[in-house]
Amino acid sequence: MREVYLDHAATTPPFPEVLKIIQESYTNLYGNASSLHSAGQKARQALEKAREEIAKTIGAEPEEIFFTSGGTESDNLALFGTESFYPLQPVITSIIEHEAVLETVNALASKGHPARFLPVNNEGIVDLKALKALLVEKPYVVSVMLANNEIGTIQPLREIAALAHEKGALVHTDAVQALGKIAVNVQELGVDMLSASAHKFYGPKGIGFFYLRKDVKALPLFQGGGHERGLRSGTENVPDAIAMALALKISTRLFTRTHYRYERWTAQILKKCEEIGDFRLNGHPKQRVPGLLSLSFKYINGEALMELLDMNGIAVSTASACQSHSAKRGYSHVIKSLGIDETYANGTIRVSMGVENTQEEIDFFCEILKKSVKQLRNYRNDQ
Amino acid sequence: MINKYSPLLTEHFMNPRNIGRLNDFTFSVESDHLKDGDRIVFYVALEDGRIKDISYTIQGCPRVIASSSYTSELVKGKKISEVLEMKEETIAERLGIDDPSFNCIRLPLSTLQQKLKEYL
Repeated sequence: MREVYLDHAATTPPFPEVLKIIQESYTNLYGNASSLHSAGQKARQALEKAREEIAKTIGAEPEEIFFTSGGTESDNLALFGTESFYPLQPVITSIIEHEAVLETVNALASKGHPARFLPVNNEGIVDLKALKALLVEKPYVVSVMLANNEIGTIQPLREIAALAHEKGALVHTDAVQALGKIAVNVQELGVDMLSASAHKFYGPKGIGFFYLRKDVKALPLFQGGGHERGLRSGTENVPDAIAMALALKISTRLFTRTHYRYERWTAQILKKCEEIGDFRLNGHPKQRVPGLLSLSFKYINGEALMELLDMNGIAVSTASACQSHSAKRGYSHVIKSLGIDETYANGTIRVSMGVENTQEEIDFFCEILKKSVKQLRNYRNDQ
Repeated sequence: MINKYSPLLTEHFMNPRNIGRLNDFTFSVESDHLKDGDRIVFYVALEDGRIKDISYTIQGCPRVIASSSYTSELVKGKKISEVLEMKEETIAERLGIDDPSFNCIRLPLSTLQQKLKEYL
């Protein structure tokens, strides 16, 4: 059966160049980057080169980049790594963050940092007025994601950072869904900390990085040999770090070309949705990551739609599964926060395109989408 | 494609039996345990203490669609007393769902049984 992968916001297939460099690195750069002999130093040099490349891509200094296991660890490092310098000061985040931030903020609340959650408007944009009001409480950090993972909305990070800095708060952004999809520059955004994950931009899984502005103090999450200038102990994962740097370079170079394609496909899918009827596109119509669509169809169950598509070989995700992880039920906190009517919210799927998708695949998706929504609506029809 | 569901569940989800609305029915009953707009409405025609015919309209997850379909096949033609003796667990087991947190598998039968008690 034909397989059409349209879930790139969940994870991406690694670029062939990435796979090749991983194999080469494991073969030639097996030395421990902390060893003083030549094998170790060869790995060290390659690791530092990867760091420099990543730093350059996001407008940072190499010493501001720390290799981690991915987005979740970086988010924890940002919020937990800095908290002890600001005892009992509040932490501000948005209600549409990824669980890696939300759960960390909840954990901080139990350590005495009052947790404040910014609402969003019905297009998923953070309420800046609410932020201004909450900044009066002197929070130690404001953490707002750059692009949302479910609806793709891009947040006004520059404005958020400027407002937060006026009141002396640190600014962290979870940029996991933005890197490799849009231009990300820490200087332009004005953020102090940033989280990234390689597998979202066609790199390997289990590696990411954390940007920490030079003059910001942070403590490690766990103790060990003092790797990564004391912030992240554990033998450096040199092959995957090199692969991540390459993946970031390629995806950043590619995105202007893929954007054009994604916009064309988005228009095609939305036209098909018009034919289907009773649908809505969630999130901001323009201020969004190209190629990521959150679609809600009235009077259907999103999980049933996702499964019907899957049975036709098409992979998308749903925001309304009974049991996507463990005890989660109903549709997601992001979709809830947009205030969408439940007859639509329940029928939500996320379609996220990637570099390997073809016109033929999008045509096939459109055809099966229409058929599947019609089939499920027929099940409900009691006329 | 890796199918996380049993062949029987997949078959009933993809091709649900007895779906639609009966023209002549003794009662209709809607499950009140689904949420977020999901629902099942059963239409049941009784004759001489038996389920002569049954149908349903549904909006829900793959499991609740499949179990509604399977349950409808199972109860059709049966005496009310026989339906009341049926076990929700049997349906869950046959459809290959052993996770007790999936109430949706059990819901169709329990909804029917509750209403059928009035017709004993």
